[in-house]
Amino acid sequence: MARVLLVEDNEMNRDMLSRRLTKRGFDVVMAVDGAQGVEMAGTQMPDLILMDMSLPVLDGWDATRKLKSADATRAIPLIALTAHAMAGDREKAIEAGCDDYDTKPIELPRLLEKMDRLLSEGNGRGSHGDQP
Amino acid sequence: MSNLPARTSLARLRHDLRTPVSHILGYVELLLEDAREQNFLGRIPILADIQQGGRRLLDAIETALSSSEGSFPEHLNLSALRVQLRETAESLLETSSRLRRTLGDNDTDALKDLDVIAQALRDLLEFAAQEETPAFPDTINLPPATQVGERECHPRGVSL
Repeated sequence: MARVLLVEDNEMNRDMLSRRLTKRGFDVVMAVDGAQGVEMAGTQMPDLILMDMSLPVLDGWDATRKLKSADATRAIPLIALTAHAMAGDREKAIEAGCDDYDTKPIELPRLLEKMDRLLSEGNGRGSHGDQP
Repeated sequence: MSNLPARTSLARLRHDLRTPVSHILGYVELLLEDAREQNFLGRIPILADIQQGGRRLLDAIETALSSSEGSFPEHLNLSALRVQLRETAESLLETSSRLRRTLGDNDTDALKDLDVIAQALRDLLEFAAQEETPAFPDTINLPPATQVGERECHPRGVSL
């Protein structure tokens, strides 16, 4: 079962996405701000991170930079999520170190496809086995 | 070439309007999944109506607040968007009330999810009802374009 760290400050978005991913067999752990996300990435060692970019304490940009500059977490695939969805944001997210980017409202089939691709590319690297 | 203040204003407005729509679409999809799994077939057409309405809300926001990198209008007129949001959100509130009446009192999970949808619709109605506020002016006057470097377009403090 793949472990996914969902870093999201909005309670409704957290509840909604975690429930939908859990139903599909993911083990979902959650953080409510960027600093907690960085900490939990180190302790939980998820197979994949879903990172909202608009976060309190430490925003998603800085959290991503921290994760991608640390040896222990650099290889964990990370998908940026944002409700701003402005032109050029995808490129900027990739530039910041994100492995992929998606917009809110979440289109679950599209997000799952991205997650599957990144998890497949990382098979054998994570500590929680294959995809759900 | 980009206009950072304009980009930030537009990004914030898109975020603030897309977030309640995200709640509507996400929770209605959860309710649809549950209805199919638990064979509550009577709910599905009503939920599908709410889902379609949520997509209309998103389309209206996208149409009104579309952006292209480095190219922003001098101002955004939000009055047409407010009308569209009000009409659709009011209709969806009625639809969600109709669905609520079909649910049993002990169907607490579905009722809670429906409450989230109703709250998101009320949030959009609140925006639609505002004549002009600093946060959501009827017309956003965007500052004149300035040339800034790519690094300045997305400083570390600007979040998506």
